[in-house]
Amino acid sequence: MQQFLSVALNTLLAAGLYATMAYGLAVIYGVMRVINLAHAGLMMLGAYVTFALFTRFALDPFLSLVIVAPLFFAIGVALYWIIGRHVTRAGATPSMESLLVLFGVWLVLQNLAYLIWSGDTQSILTSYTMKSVKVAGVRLGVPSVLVFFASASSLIFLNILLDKTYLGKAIRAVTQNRDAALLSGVNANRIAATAFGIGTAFAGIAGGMLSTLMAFTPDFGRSFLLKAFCIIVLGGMESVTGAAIGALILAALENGLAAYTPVPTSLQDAVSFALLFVALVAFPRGIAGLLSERRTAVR
Amino acid sequence: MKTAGTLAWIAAGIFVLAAPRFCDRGMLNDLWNLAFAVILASAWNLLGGFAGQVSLGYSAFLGIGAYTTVLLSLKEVNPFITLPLGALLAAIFSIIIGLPAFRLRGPYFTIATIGVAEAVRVCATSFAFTGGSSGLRMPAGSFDFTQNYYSMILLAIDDRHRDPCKEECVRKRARRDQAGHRCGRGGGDQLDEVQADRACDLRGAGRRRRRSLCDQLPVHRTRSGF
Repeated sequence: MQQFLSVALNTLLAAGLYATMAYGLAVIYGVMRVINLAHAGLMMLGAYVTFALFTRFALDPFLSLVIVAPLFFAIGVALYWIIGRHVTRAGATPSMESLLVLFGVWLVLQNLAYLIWSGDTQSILTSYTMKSVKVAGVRLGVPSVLVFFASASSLIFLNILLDKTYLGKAIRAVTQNRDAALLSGVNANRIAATAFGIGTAFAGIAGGMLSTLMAFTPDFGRSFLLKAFCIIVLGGMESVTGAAIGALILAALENGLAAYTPVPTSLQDAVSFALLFVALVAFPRGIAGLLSERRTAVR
Repeated sequence: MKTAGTLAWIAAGIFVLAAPRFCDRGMLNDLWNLAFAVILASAWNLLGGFAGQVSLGYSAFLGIGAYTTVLLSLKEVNPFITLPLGALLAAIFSIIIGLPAFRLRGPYFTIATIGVAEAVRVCATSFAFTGGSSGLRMPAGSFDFTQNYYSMILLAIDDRHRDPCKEECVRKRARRDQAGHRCGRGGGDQLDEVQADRACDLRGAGRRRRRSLCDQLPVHRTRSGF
């Protein structure tokens, strides 16, 4: 029972972080039909910016999220105006060019980071990095708990934004049908720029939070990008709720495997990448798509 | 004009073949890298260029070829036997991956290949027999650099030479595949992938050999690039 509780709590904490990583991808995919390979580079950059703020100005990594988020929003909007708008198209599937150009952006960001911060492994050590708290008899690291709360609040913020504001309504409209949104007077280009900014801001937030949990190099982010892919594929690509469920599934799988099977933790990532492959091949429309297919089949 | 072109090709051919006689090691390394790039580009072109499926997962096949070679060489198997074996293993792996992966198209296929490559990389860094994250090293002196150089050059030349024919049949197959795609899920062009991998993978084996021989560096994992 104790072990189950521990697995469940750790799953929840990990899922919060994973959801933050995946939401950015899902929002960008939804609006632009673009798979943002640069997400990994942006997460890495988020980690380094947080690191720079921490070393230069002794700013707490969680406080610096307040700076990182708007900064990355601006970076995202700029990226959209420079690159993104040339590769967006109205079709149902993303174009190959967008994938390749964003892969290029990722490589540029990576090499930029090598140039500025060198390839040395960096980490952020705060006064609470090594501390832990006891919740219902389970020891949890303070940083992971803080990360969970930060991700949860950013996710709630995103949901309110999408649900209650005009901007959110427009983003949802463009996600559902770009042409119809254009016809009803939504400036799809501006919405796409905003969505790209939001997605990038989430990448920055995720990177900043990751930097408090683990060491990082400019190469960092690739495995998280793939996990984020895995999550949005499980969640059905453009649904934000789906991404949350996907994050929970992935986190539960990882923590469950670590606790109940002899699979070594070093192979944990391989499991999620294999899951990505299986999910893409077996149910490309996500869990929800799979369920609705079943339903139609039963009928 | 045409004869001038032919003459230039012949001159270039003589130059690369005779290079070990009069070039220094740095120059030979550059030529080796050139051949390496030619082989990898041709391999990628088969699938990415003609068949239109962009795979970012070639590093997995490259790694399989490299590990096969180094593991067998440690058991003192002749490199010329390990080369085709590595190619075969990579080809078998590519079929296993390709059969399901070719149900996907475009970017989804690409992402799936990244997933596979990363999964293979994670496995390679965590299994004991692959030497973990520090990798393996070829036994010293197991493959002469000159032999290695000639193998690479021949592979590269061979590859270019066969392309026009290949281009046509792969194009045809890709067209058929596209047609299949329009009315649902396309059928397999696995053969192309296999051929591509074979070329790619021989190259991986060559690279590992060269590294370990000339500078005795620990073998690098294909971490840097998909």
